[in-house]
Amino acid sequence: MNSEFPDIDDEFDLLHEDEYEVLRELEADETQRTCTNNDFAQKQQEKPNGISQRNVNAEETAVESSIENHNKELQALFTIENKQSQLSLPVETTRKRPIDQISQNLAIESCDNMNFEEFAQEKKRPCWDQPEELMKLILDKRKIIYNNGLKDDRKASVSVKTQTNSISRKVPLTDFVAVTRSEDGERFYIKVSERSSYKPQNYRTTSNLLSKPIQQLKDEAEEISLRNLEKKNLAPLEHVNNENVSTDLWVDKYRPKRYIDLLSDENVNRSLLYWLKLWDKIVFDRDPTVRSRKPQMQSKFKNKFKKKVEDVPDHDSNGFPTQKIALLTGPPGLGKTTLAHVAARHAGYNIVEINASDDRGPEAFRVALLSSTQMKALIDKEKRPNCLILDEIDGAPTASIELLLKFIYGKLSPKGRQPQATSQKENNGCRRPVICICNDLYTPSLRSLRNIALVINVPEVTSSTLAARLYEIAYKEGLNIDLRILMQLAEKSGCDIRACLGILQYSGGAPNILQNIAFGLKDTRKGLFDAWKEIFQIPIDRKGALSGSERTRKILKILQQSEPDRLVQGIFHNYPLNCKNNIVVIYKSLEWFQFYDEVNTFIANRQSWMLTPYTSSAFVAWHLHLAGFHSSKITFPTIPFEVNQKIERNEAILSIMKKTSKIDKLTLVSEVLPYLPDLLSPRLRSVNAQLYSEKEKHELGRLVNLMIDFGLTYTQEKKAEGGYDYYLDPNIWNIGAFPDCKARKPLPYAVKQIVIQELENTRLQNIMVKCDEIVENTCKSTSTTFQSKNNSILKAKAVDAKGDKNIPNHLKQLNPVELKAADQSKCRNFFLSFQLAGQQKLKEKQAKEKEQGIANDEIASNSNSEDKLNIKKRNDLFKSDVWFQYNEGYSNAVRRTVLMEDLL
Amino acid sequence: MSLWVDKYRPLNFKKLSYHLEQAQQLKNMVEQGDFPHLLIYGPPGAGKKTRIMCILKELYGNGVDKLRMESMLFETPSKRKFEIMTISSNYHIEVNPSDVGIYDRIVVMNLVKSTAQTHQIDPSGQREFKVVLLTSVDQLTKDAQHALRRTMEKYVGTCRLILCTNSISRVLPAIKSRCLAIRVPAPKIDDIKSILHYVAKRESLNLPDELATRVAEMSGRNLRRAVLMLEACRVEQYPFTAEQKVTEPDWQVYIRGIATLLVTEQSPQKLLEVRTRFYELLTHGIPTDLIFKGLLQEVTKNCDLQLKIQIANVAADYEHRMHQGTKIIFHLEAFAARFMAIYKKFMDASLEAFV
Repeated sequence: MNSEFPDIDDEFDLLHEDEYEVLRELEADETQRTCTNNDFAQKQQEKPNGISQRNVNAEETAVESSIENHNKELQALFTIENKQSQLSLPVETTRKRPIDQISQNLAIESCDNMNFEEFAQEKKRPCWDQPEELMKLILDKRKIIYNNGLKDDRKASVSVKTQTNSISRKVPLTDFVAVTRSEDGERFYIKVSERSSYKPQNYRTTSNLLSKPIQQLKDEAEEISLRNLEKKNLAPLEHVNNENVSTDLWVDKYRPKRYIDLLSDENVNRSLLYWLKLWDKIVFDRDPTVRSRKPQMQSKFKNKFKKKVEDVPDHDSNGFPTQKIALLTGPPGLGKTTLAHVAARHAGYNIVEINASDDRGPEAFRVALLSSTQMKALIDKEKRPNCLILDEIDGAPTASIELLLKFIYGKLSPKGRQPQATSQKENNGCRRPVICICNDLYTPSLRSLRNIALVINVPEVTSSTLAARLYEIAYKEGLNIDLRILMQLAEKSGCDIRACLGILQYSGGAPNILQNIAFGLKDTRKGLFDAWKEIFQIPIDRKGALSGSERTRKILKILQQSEPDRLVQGIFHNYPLNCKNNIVVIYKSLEWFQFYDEVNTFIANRQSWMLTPYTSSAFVAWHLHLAGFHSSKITFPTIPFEVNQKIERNEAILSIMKKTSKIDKLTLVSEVLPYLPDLLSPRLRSVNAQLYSEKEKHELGRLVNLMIDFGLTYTQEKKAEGGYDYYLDPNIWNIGAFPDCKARKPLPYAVKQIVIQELENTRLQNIMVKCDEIVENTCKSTSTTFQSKNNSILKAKAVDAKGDKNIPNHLKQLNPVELKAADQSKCRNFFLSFQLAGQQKLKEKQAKEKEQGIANDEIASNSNSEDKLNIKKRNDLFKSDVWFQYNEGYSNAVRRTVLMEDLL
Repeated sequence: MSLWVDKYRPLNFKKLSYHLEQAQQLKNMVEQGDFPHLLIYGPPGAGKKTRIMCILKELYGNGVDKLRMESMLFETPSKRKFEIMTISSNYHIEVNPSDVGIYDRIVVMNLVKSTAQTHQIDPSGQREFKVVLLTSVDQLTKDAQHALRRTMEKYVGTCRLILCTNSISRVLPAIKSRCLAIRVPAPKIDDIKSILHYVAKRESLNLPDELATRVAEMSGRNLRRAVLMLEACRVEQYPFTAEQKVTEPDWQVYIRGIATLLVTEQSPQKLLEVRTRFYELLTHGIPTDLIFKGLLQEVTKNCDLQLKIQIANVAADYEHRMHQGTKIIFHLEAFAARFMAIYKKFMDASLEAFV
């Protein structure tokens, strides 16, 4: 021990020689204590003698003179103590001393310097990592010391009082100095007498610098340290005993804070961290493969990662990771959220979390996304970039997830701001890593996300790992639980870390933990697949197959937990591959399907829900009929959904066909449509339509007419293997033709082209005919005057046409059309006539008004002046001396009359 | 009107070629000026619709030929809106209320009312009633049929109903008694043959008599199908030969395939195969009663009489149950499985007897 006091100056040594003696005595005492614990109490009993001796010194101490020395000593002790704490002493026996020493010092210090207590605590913290048994041992001893110490203290104070009365609790009549005992705030008053009278004593006690005897101080120090330790010791016990008081859950308390603490599978951790590191190039602008600044533990895996980098291109051309989003998935309580947090922090990100408790509507989502990834926290000293963690994303609405996808691909722009072309180009998607967390990967809303994301499946923690961690925690909390119990707990909870910790905390760690185990466990709800499996499998006990009644009970229990309709679908879908090869049994269970359907339909029609219980008997029947011992292969029933979709599509086609052909659906389906594919594929050569024989032309005409009647066309579509093909639209082949019934040769591509051409022509012709009809109709309907006008125009046209026809084409000559001032009669603008009529009417009206004397001068003058102006302009144009006529594209060379009919 | 079926459809009573006596009766009825509500029923392809159109033509003249498609909008009391297509002329309106499923009651009520409530302004030149033609009456729900019977009586002054259906077994007796039921039986083979020859002549084709007979027989006395078959044959191969292959509708061939599957092997695996085929039929929109009927016909071809009776019984029972339920596939498969069981038992028994 002396070697540890190297820097105390000699003077000090000399001055405190006797104190050293005492200290040495104590050390000897303590070494003895460690060696022989049994006679410890005895030794302690002996101590008071020494103390009483010291007390004599104490009473003679002059308070004023001792203060300086006192401080000095404290400083010295400080340095010692610091050194001791810096030295980490691995051996038990040596370690114990410093602690004792500390507590001594602490006690001494506490008389004057209150801050020291905190300091000492701080320094003690690393001790957490040290073996705990030692601590416990110390605590036990401290307790004994405490008890003894209290007695000693009392005795000492009494002796002080009786012997000298120089220290008292009452305020003394003579001069005094007030001293407050720090540990309990008790106030003592020390009488101060004349210095001269105490002189010899003063000389004698120069070595004694302490206001209190060292033994007493030591006891007090021990007492304080004991109390502190006890407080700590009691804390967890309080948690256990009084649930309401406890504030921090163990789940939070023991949440892994560093990457190395993570409990989940190392592969998973690494893959997530690796993915995060891929973002380094974008976020930190450094090469991700060079991991110079990586922590030590990462370097281990470096090689593996490098290999991976070579295998798969992790980055796209812009340096973004190929998978721009990570999706962590797994059952609850495995530490997905913790993993994401820890990994993100480890990779140097500031975490922004959005979870189910936040508003996740599309709008709120957009704001959160943009703000978290494109902005940066200014207050954060470390200036870390953000990493967005979307927790519990399987509960988010589909719209939000679509938004997220858009955002990832950079198609999302902040709302209300005009997207600038330049910034859009630069904005190549999300520039910060986004981690999504979900429990159920197969939620419909996640379908699109699943395809593009890096899906990391967090597997269950092995029960042994979990039990080990639980044991550690239990130990830290002072619970004495057997590892085997913890193993059982881990297994029972399905390796749900959160649930285990919760149970551990609230069950009080007592032996009753296994009895209470049920209450904290999550709902063990079975999935659809499990339910189907149970129906198709005969449950087996240790003794063999269960009895019928037990099986029935089991089935009914399953039924309570799941939706019966989906169960039925699954059973119907899967039974042919999972049942015995006995047709009688099958038809009987199929009758139960009929029964189920009938009852359900009845319930739906009459709303008589009281019949529902009867449907469950069908499930029992199916189980009893169909179940076997072999393991069942179960697939999800997707066919009904597909069938429904197809039926809907075909229904739509049918209603279109009905509209155009005016034949009702039943006849269409059963009689007309089966023949249409045949009728629509006549034998036509794939040559130019002009080369067709008369028969073929007739055939083509029929085909086209048929297609028009049924409103069919061919639409060009790109085939999967490239090239184009024409498909019927609406595609009646879907309805009329069945697979492997009759091999029909579809029309060749070239023929289809011809058909389309012909189809368009015929359609145009039909439209023209219709238009003519409409024109005629409108002509008839308009008033007689205009009709006559129109007729005259038509007649003129007809005459023109006739005249043209009479002259051979090559003899025709085009004469420049003379411009006429009044060109309106020839104008074919239909509405112009109405305008004219309107103007005429207006004039008439005006005339009438004039007659009536309510002349509206202004309007009349306006219209009149407008007319005049127009006429004047026209006259100016024609009467001017210079006249130029521009003959654009005017030629007499080759001409022929081309009518619309000829083109078609 | 490029399909031969439409092209050569007789448009008035004179041109009808079979059931001439009935045609004369109808003509007489119309000529009398007034007639009760009509319920015209008969198998598909017998000429029900043709006769109805003849009646209308006789009543109103050429005006009924100008047809227009209209979609009418209805609203349920629960504010659900739906559309239904109607074909109408100035004198009549044709609608198939079962197109809208369970809302057919609203269609029947509103349509008949709206048509019947408008009187002809000038009854002198015209008939004083309009005609509402309801097709597929057997598919109407009970509610709709009940709604129909009061309106039938109430608006008899301004409106005549002509109901057209394949079978009257699902028409309420109350409606049957309010109507004059006219059965249009399927044409005989000879009738069909003569019509086929007529069509061929008009199309200037040379039709061998053997082929005509075969087509007529294969059509199952369904005239529409016979003419369509002839046209398909024409597209397939011309000039005709007597041994020419006549195309059957694909769904019939497909159902025959199912029947052979059922007979060849009785195992759950086969049942799975049959199920996919049933799904295929359903997606093509083939009506379930046709499936049942076709299947029964095909399946019983391989059975002796005792077995036939049993299977027919089972089929009837299962079809009935199907109509009570909603999930058709259950019932179809149940029938298939039941047939398999019966057939297997029969085969096993006969094998034992043979040994």
